[in-house]
Amino acid sequence: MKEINNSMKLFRQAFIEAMNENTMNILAEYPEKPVYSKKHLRAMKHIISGREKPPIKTSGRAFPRKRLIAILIAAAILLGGLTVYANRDAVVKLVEKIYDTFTRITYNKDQDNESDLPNGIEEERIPTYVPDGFILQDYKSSLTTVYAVWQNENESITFCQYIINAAYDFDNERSDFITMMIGDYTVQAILNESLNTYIWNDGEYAYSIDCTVTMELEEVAHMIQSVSIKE
Amino acid sequence: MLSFLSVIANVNDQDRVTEIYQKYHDIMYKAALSKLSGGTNAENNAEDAVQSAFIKIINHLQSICFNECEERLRAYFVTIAINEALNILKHNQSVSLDEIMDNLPEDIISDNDFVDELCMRDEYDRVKRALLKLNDHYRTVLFLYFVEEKKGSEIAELLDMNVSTVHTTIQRGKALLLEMLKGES
Repeated sequence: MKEINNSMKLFRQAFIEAMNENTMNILAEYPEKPVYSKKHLRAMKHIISGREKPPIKTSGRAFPRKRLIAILIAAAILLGGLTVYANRDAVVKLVEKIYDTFTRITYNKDQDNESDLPNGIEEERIPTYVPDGFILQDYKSSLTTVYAVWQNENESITFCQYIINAAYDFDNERSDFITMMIGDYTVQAILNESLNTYIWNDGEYAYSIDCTVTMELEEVAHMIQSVSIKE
Repeated sequence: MLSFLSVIANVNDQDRVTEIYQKYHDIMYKAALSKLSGGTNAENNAEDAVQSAFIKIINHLQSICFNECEERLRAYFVTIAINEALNILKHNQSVSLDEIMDNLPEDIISDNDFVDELCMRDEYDRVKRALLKLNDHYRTVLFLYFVEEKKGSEIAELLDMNVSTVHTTIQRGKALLLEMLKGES
C-alpha cells in the first residue's frame, strides 16, 4: 500500500478545506432553495431510479393524446398479423405498481427460471430495422445495458437492452399506460405528451424504445420485431 | 454529450443514490449554476449538468468511498457537478482545454517533490488560498488525483477527457500552483 507522508496528508486536508470553502461561497451566493423545472425533476426521478433520462429531442408538434391512444389500440389489433421475426418465449411478466405520483414497472421473475436469466449482457441485441431517414448517432454497451440512438432532422429513437432487473418509473399525471401485443411480445406502451416509451422482454433481456409521439406505431412494431443479435 | 447509465444493481445502491440526491442535489445545482450564470439558459444548463453528474456518479458508485468524511464526499459531488457545468460551457463557447493550458511550464514535477515543496515553502492557509484561486479545470483534476487518489484513466473516464490530457493537466496544474505560491511569497 502506498505510504502517505505527513505533507501529503496536510495537502489533502488543505484541498478538502479549500473545496468546501468554495462550496460555502457558492451557498452564500445562492441562498435560496432552487426552483427546478418539472422536466428536470422527471429526468432526475428517472436517473435515480436507475434509468437514464431519455435523450429525446421533441419535435414540438402537438398531437392530440386521446386520438393517439385510439390509433394505438386500433393499430395494435391490426399489428397482430405482422410477420414475427423472432420466436422466443416471453417468460417474464411485467408488473405495474401504482404509487401516488408514479407507476413503477418491474418484472415478475419466475423463480424456476430466474437462475437462467443472464446477469449481464452476454449477447448485444439491436433492431435491424429503423425507419427511413434515421441515422445511428450513438451506440454504447456496458455489462448490463446496450444503448443506441438514431436521429433524423427532428426526431430521435432510443433503444435500450437491459438485464431483467430494471425498474421503470413513470409519472402518473402525465402518462397513459396501454398494454398491447406486438407479434409474440406483450408490450407496455407509456404515452406522454411528447414521448412514447415501449417496454417488452423476450425472456432473456428487457428492451425499451423511446420515440417522439409522431412516430407511427407500425414503425415501432417493425423495430421491436427486428431486434436480433448484433453482428 | 450524453453519458451512458448502467442500471442500478441493487437496493443498497438505490438507497445510496437516493441519499446523494436528497443531500447534495441542491448544492450540486447551485455549484453548476455558479459556473454557468450569466450565460443564456443558465438554469436549464445547470439542470442538465446535474443530470449528467448524477449519471456519472451512478456509473462510478462502486469507486466512491462512503465511509469518508461528509466534507470530502460533498467536495467530490460538487466537483463532478462543476466539471459537467464546465463541459457545457466549453461546448457552448468552443473553448478547448488546450487553449486554457497554453503558456505553462512543461517540466515534470514528481508528486512527492510537489507536495513537499508546497508544505515547506508555504503555510497551510496559503496553500488553501492558492487552491481556491486555481482554475476550475486544474482544481477538479488535482482534487480527483490527490484527494480521491484516482488514476489518470479513472479521471479521464469521469471527466470525459483523454488520459494524456489528464496527465498533462496534472503536471501543469502542479506547476501552476507552485507558480502561484512563488508569486505570493
